[in-house]
Amino acid sequence: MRTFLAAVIVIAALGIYLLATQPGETAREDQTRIRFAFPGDVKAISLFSRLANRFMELNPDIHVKLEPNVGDFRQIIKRDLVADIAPDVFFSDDDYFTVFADDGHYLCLDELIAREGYDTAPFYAPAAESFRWKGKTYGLPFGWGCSLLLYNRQALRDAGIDYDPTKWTWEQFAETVRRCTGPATVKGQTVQRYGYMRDNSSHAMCSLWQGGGTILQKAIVCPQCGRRNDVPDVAEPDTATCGRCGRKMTGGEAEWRAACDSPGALAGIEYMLSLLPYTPRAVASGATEMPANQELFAIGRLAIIRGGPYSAQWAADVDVDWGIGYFPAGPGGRWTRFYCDGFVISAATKHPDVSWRLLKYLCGEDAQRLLAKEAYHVPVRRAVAQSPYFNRPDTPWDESIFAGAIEHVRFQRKIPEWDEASQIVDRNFGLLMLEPDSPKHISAAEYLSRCQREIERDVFDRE
Amino acid sequence: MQFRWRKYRRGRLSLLQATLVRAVLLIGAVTMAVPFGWMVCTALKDKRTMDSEPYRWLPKMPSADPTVSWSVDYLSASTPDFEDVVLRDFDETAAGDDRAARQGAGSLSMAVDFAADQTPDRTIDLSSAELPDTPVSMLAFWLRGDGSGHHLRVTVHGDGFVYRADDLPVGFEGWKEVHCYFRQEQFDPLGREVVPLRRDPPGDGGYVSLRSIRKVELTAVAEPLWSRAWQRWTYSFRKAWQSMPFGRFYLNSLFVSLAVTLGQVLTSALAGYAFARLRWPGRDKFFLMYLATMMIPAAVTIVPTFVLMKMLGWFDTYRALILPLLFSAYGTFMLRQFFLSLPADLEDAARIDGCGKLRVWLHVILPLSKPALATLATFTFLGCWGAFQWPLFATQSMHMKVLPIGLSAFQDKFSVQYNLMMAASLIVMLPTLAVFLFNQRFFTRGIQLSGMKE
Repeated sequence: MRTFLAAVIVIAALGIYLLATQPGETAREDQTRIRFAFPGDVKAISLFSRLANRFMELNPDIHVKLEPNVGDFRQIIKRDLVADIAPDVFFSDDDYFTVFADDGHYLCLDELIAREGYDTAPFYAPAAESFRWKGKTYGLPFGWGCSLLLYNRQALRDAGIDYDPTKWTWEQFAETVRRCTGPATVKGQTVQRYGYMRDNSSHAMCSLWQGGGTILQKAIVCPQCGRRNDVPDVAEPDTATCGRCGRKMTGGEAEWRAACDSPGALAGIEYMLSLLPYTPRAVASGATEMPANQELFAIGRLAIIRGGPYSAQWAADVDVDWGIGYFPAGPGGRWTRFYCDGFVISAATKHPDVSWRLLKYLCGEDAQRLLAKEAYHVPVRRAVAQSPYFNRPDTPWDESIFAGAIEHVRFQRKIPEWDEASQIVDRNFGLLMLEPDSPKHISAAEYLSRCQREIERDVFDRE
Repeated sequence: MQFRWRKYRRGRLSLLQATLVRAVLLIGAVTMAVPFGWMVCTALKDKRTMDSEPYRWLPKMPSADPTVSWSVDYLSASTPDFEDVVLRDFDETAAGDDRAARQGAGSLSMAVDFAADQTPDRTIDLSSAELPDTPVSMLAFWLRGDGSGHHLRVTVHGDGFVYRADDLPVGFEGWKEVHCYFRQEQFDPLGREVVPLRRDPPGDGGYVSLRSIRKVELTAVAEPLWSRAWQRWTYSFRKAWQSMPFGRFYLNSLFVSLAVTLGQVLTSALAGYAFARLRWPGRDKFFLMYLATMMIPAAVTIVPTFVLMKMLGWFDTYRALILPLLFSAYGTFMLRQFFLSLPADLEDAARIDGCGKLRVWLHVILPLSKPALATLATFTFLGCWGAFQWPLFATQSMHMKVLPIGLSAFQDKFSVQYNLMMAASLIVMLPTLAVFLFNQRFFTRGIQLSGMKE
């Protein structure tokens, strides 16, 4: 009985203390309270709490309640949207943006943008495009990133390589990777060094693009002459012209199809496979294996590793003389993948104007400066990305090369069907990467034809 | 359990068997202990020891050398709108592609020998600089540490005020950015050193006018060897603790786990008693039905429970974290089995003495069931302490999160920095470890009673 009473007293005391010390997240009477949700890793919490605090200083009539979330942010937002408890302003990445935009969960910003004459021109074009769907703007971009290569300068010197890693070709890169593989002396010890790491399904797409292929192709059917015109991902019927009749295809229907099995795509995948002998076999290609690859790179056993702006902080602590290079150029070009994060306003918000003010601040110059200093992503505002806040040659945080990579990024519209298509590509990629003597292993041609067939059949319901 | 050697002394084969059993047990124990040992050792290391080759299990002791050799470069201030104002770039000429060269040259050096009683101060005089009259929230500079662990004291002198800071242990080697905040930041990101400054005399904690700053004083403070060793060994714990509001998460986890444990023991004891001792129509069928709910995975009920919480307006409250977990078929089953094993005569005797059913439960059954109650409490506490999915669903605000969620956020960003990860994991694990160690016998007893772990 005494134990029970003691436990009750402890719990009651603890409960009272916790309730009494809850942070003052309630707005004053003269304030409008809005909620702001984002994926809550350590760095994001630090960044967004500072931004929100400053925003509230500048806008004393607004109270922003921060809602950092851990775990799968997309699922959390899905929960909130379904349960009708969505925050007013929240983070969105380009992976699932179109899914929710298509379902009408985001507030269309075109009216607000037009009303205030808000200028989206200072944003990098692919970043601004990431938050447009079917010709309407549903969000503003915040930071972007792309895949690049981090290379060990000493490893390249050891191999006698003097190619410019920002300009190398497929052949030069393959030669570099080959020559960097083998026994090497690191800190007085002889170790096996690998030239490159294994690609995962998303990065194999870069090779596929470099070869001249693509996964999904957009087409617009001309309403005048009925011709199906292949167009870039960002083209809309209102702006595109028909290749046959030369007229604007306003009112034309946009459609997507799988285009995986082109000769260019095959060349790209075969090139990627040709690099496999120079990669550590024990480390798989999945994203979860990235720490293992980073460790190999950090101890000098991996000459070239994939990375992005997110690698900057990790790499700054690595005791390796490293530099940053771009992906090699193949027959189809020097392509790398592009990803962009941004913010949207819930369609169900009761405070669209206040939410819009927060959104503008988050994607404004001040916030972008902090983003640049925190080495979180590449700022979407060109002026900040080109400023000393992002390019600091006198510190280890010289990231100008990330901003320079914008020339090589490939904008791929993640349509609502993208998830399903991507799963098919991933699944078959697993079979492609099996050892050749495995009974389930498939060839590059088979991989692409399976992707083509299954995407057409399962995603677009076409035989 | 004492091992009975005598039992095996009868024949040579038996002794061999005994040795084999011991050897297998020892191998098992070592297999389990080594990863845990690695975890503890890794948590005690700083980054420098982590990177050392060959691999070291324990962190190095700091050098007894009474000197420091530090360099300071690129002093700047940050405005509230995150603009930087460069106050002093000691290395304006160095440029180019070579990081090492450009960081090494032209900085303000501090080579101090404490034994020789040298002046351990370096002053950066800003009084002659024509600084703009702009508010600033932070001073930043680059510091190249020597890993000695001696402390750096930052003092900012201005017109009518002095800002002082806690000493910064310089346990790192190489260049690192140091941020000195005039205003308290709620969460400090990792990857840089953070120094909160306090105003003397105390002020409103607002911004400081850049023009009013006269000088920045950097003082080397000698630290005894034991203190530097302590700082180095606890580095990962301090860094992990500072990076997130782990204190709040800790209290939340403690409160929720204790409340759920108490509530679940109480409801299970009442239900178990009703199913074991009271006679009422359909009792066994109800029990079977209740037991069958154990077959439904928690993931299946999570969405309906969430909808219910939302309808009741309990979402993002402690009620949502506690109340749905107060009832447990497992606990009821376990206690019912235990109550059935108690002699009915004791109950009858209490009845004859005039006790009602509730009094029998309270004064006869519960005191006799302490081992079972402790077992259930141990299981429930451990389960609740480590719970991730439901707290993730049921909460939204930062101050409502529990430890496993905080650890997950930490892991997302710092999965490669094993020392920090292991320190954070140990922080989360320690209470469960203590509960398990103190209640180990109940834990085994629970498995014996119910034939299962929860």
